Amino acid sequence: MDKLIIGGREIQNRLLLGTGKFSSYRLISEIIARTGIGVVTVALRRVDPGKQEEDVLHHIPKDCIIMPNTSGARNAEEAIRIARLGRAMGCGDWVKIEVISDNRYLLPDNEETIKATSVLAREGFVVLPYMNPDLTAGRKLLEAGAAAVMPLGSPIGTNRGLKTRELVQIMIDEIKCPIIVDAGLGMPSDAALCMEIGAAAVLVNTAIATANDPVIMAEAFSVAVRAGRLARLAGPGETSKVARASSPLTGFLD
Amino acid sequence: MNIVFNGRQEGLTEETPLAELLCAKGYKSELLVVQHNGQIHRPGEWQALIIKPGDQVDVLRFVGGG
Repeated sequence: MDKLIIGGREIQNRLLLGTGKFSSYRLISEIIARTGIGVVTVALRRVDPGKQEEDVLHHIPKDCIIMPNTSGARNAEEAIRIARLGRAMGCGDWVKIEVISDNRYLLPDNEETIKATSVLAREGFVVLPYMNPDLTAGRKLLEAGAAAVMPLGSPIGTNRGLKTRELVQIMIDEIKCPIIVDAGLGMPSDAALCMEIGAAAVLVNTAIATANDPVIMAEAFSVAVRAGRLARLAGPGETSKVARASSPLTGFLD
Repeated sequence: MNIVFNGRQEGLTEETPLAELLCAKGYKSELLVVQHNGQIHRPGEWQALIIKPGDQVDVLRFVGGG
């Protein structure tokens, strides 16, 4: 059986969903019902009186793993505080560490991310850190207790695809934990490519949430993730620079 | 007296239980968590918690995020 197990939980669908930017939270429950997605991220924010929008948790089924992110954190200390707040709100032990101090490209700070991962893993969190693809940082995250490591495909929300392929490939080949490509994937084919090269899963938000029909796009991503995973399991044939005939080169008709 | 509520300075006429302060402001959902001077408080603790001058109060909830 081809199982993905993270933090002791079996993940049925290797497509993980970010819940930002949807025009309506109702789309989230529709997507989950249609695709069987089992892991979703949420963010923690201040809520002002009179601006109490609908609660995103009402649209996430109880059997889903809710993974609060630490978006807004600029260093390890802030990420740790946000993670603890998220757990205090009763959504379990999973957390996506996201430490960003660069406002233009929203690239993560690997050093602070490693610090936060170390502290939170010791506190019993299932830590999935979002990071710049880098073998050494990935290894340090694993040593610090990360349950999976999540390198970016391209900057958050850009829909540009797997621009970091070579570095992500090295991480997949060398780091003995699930590698989940998070951020920047724009099309289902990007997700399929991630899975074909050996990613354990992908996390997608913007490409789905900003599609004209987010539900259909989510289904397309889900199918692509499954296709890419099957191709990986099947073991692709070799590539060649010159043609290799597919039909026998003997017994031609005269 | 002044407190810092959701990051902004705010005047308060007297020391008040957190539950009453939130009710007066129109908060309803139980799916909120409050951070008071860095400590986390669930709804069950809000009545007993008295807000005093200089306190920092943040009201938080989950929203969509990637």
